[in-house]
Amino acid sequence: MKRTPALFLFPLVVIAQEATPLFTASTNSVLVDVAVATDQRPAPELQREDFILLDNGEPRPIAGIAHDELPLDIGLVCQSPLRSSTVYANRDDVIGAYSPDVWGISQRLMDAAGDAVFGLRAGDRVAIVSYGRDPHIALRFTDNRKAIAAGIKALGNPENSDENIVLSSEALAVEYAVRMLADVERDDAAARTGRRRLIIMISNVFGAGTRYADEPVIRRLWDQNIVFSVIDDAPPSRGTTTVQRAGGGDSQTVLFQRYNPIHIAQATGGDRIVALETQHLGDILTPIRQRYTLWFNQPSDVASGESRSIKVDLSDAARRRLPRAVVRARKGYVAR
Amino acid sequence: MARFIVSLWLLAGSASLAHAQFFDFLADWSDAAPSDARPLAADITATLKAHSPWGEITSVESGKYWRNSKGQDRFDDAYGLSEIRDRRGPVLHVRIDRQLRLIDIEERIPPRVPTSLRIEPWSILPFNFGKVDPKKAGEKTVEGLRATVRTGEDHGVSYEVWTSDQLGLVLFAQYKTDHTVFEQRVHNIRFSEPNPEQVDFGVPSGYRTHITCWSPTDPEHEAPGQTYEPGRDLCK
Repeated sequence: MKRTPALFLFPLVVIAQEATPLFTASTNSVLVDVAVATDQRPAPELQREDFILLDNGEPRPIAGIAHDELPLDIGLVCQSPLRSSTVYANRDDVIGAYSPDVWGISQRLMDAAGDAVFGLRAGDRVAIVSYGRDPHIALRFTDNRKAIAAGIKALGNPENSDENIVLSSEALAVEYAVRMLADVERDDAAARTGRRRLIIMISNVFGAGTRYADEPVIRRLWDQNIVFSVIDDAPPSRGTTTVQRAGGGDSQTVLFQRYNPIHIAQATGGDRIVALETQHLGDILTPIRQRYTLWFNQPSDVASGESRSIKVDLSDAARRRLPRAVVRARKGYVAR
Repeated sequence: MARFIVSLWLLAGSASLAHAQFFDFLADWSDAAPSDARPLAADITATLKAHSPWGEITSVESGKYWRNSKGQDRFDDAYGLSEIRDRRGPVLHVRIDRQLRLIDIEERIPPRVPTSLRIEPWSILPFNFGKVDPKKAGEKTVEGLRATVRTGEDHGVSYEVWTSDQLGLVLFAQYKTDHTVFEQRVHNIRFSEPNPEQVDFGVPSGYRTHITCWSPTDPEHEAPGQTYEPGRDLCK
């Protein structure tokens, strides 16, 4: 299906403190948020010519760049405490009963959740989705810090416990968060572009969770331009490898066992944070908040709905100036 | 830098929120050889319906399943993931991620787990809470095949599975939670040898591999070599 030109229906809107836009963009523009960090510090003052962007492997001109700290809309997705000790007996590699201390929401993960949103600033909004067998809306989007703190605290309350997850639980909980973000956007038309959108999953089923085809989830997040990050408390293990984090530094990630949240985070430009790595807590929001926003025009012959890959890196000149820089961005988009 | 925010209204337009799709498929990966080992091909459809505050969320996914006369199975989902099982020699379970160009190979020497956990069809489900007490609920004829129906309930999740015990194939699996119904159905079963030019049961080259082995003392350890070679015992 060919994309329907609809330039006049969707005029470019520029909201500016200083009213002159530096760049123009058309309706087939694609926004890409890019984190650049060197030695765990965001790299400032980069210009459009400091970046290169590949669309399906082909270089595309970058039409514009902005670097601004935007308020965040954060969907916090967290597994409910387990109501009872349960067994994953069918997993060949995971046999036995697990206590809620391990497989419920541990205090460490709760602390991580609290730390992750500790860096909230005025104007940031948080919603919470909890999930066991089914997802539940635990908190609708609010910028009320007391309500957010109470919502996080309630995640560990045994009264909010549920049974263990089933195949559909995790992805459906993410879908809930996506829909809540879409609701916010419906009520606040500037939310998509005047704010950054992030889903943080607090996960405790590392290596033993259900596996599912997560490409549709990734495609959904690409389509909505939502960054997905995950916090878990699993130590490095076999089959893991070290990857560089958006905010700098290293982190372990799973290579061969497809642990869906990490795969989704990698594809959407997000982070995996290990709650054990206390030095990394609390910095999950800063790289998101301080990202560059690039935009480019999608090729004219692209069919609407097509998934296309994106690769963003520094230009050779910028790379010489910042040889250790880590560049993180989503790896694809859905064509309009 | 001038502070500005660019708002692209087209990009703010919502994509279709009607569907979300997110399934792996369930297949019978038990290590025991079926009594009816005819080669076959089949289609698989998985459906999720979830009641949500936004109304019903529906997702439908499709996949393919093949079995050849050499004791090899292959399952493909729609996203470049393949699961291959090879019963020749040590049972190998191979997961091929074509998107990430990764291959995960596990050698499994049956029985890897207590027999009581393997013989029930529930073991193919992704959630077995350990108190499964399936009840035989009769038989059905599905796709011209006789299927045993088993049902159960555990921790608020109810199950129903129809198996062709002769083929060692789960023809239908369903679970229900308070708000979610998941079903997987095997259909359009054709008994014929898969065309080797169209269906490759081999392991592609040029992928990064991770090979794990099993032994009574060490249920999961990395193979001494991490290179797959057909016919070679990976774990010696």
